[in-house]
Amino acid sequence: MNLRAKVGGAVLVVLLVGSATSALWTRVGGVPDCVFGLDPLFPYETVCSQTLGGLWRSLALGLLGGAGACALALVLALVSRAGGGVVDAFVEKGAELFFSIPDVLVLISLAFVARAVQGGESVSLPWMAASLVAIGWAAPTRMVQNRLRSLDRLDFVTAARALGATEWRVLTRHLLPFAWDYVFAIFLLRVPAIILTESTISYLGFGLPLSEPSLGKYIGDHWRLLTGEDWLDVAPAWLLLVLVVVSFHWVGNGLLERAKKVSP
Amino acid sequence: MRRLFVRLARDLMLVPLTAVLVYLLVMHLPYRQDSDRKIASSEAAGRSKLEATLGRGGPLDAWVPWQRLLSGESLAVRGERFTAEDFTRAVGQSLSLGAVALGLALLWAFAFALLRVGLARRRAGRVLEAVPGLVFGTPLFLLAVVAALLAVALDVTFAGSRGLAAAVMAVAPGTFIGVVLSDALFAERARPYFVTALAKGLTPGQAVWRHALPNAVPALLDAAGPVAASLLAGSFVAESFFGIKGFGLVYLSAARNVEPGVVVVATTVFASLLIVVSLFIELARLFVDPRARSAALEPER
Repeated sequence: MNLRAKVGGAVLVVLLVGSATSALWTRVGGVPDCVFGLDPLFPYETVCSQTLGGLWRSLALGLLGGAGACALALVLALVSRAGGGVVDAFVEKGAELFFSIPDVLVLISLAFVARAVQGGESVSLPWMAASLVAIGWAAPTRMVQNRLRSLDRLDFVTAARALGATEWRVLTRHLLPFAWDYVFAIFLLRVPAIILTESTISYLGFGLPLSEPSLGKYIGDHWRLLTGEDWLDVAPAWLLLVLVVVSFHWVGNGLLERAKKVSP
Repeated sequence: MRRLFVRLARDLMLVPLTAVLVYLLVMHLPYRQDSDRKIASSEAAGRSKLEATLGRGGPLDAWVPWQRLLSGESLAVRGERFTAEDFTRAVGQSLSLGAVALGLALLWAFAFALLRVGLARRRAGRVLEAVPGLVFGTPLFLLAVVAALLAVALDVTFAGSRGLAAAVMAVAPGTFIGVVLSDALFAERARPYFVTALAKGLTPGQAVWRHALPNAVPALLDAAGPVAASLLAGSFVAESFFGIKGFGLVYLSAARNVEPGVVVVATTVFASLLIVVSLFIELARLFVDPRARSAALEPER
């Protein structure tokens, strides 16, 4: 992996550990007060605790949504490869059909369902993660499908088939080992896209509750502060969002390059 | 060319399928979580009105919104009146805004790619490397806030604010295309023909312009297709911040207020737009890429 990917990885580890343990810090004495003061919209919390909590929720949503979408993509791509012919075309066209439905419509529709099922005006974190999986599977499915197709044309796969290997054996022993790195890189590149999508849907008012914001929800609720003297209250969340997105891009692109080099 | 038409025909089949899928989705959405009897009865009355206006929610009823629109009736069942004229106006607004945004995005993409390639391994080049991260990590609404504040501070005219809206929409897609184009240019620069061109006395700028750029354009077309479709379909964020009643804003308010008719018609238009743009991209590819041209003219085996 290149230096940029390593730096991105280190930053992500620090952010993950820092945000996951942020609730503990506030309980331990000796931690200095938040320099940004209290959150103007939710005065029971400080800007720091809201931002760090938001970082944790954004990372959780991104990782859960990305993992779910990529797992679904991998299963669909494997089924389409194993089924071949009609099944392959069905999965491919299904993904294309999904591209022509705007994400916003799917997310708003799922938010309506959540309101009916769970009650209240906001959406819970697991529901939001499931909604993000629902809109995020199509692009990774096409990418993994194409990857498996290109691996399928290689000589060693033809040789394995000629020696009598079953389709299942070809998939699990010959194709999957070369697809893992690629799928993991796609997962890492999906995470920032999911975090940004969540931030947009939260800005539209269909996201997490105000008391438990993600970074996007926090920025979406507080953007009006940019016009006044409290504009600094938005800056930490924005900077953390940029840092998270850049770090995931660096690690994801580093892994993608490596996956392409390692592949036969 | 036959392949192109076969692909077009296959893609066109997705349009009615999208319409049916979206109709089924929106017609069966729960409208209220409130269990209060009065609201429930009013919702039941609303639903029966909805079914009387837009069909009973079966797959074959997906055409009812289009029939209403084409016969000049209003599509909205809850909010304000929404006719074919309103729809055409909104699509026109978004198309004109999107076309300006697409132009700006391509301009920025070329400038960014040429700068990135020209300044590689220099200090200014390292600064430029930070631009994609900053742009991709900034939600569009935050960019729109900054641009709207700028518009207020500079007291820009109506046309100026539309230009700013287009610029806001263009920044992220332009940077994305710029990154793809510059990566393709870096790959072309490593090829033997480029080194030969330099050895024959061309300056690096001339070699990039005459040799690398034409070979990198197909990569640009790959990236530009989805970007162009999404820009032309409008941006609800930019449109809401700059007060433009375009397709994006109409779509968002229809989805928010659960207006199945408007949503179905708008999604069908969006799906058709994707296909038209992908056809244009394929034609542009045939025009600029001789390899694609010869592959298209080859007889099918």
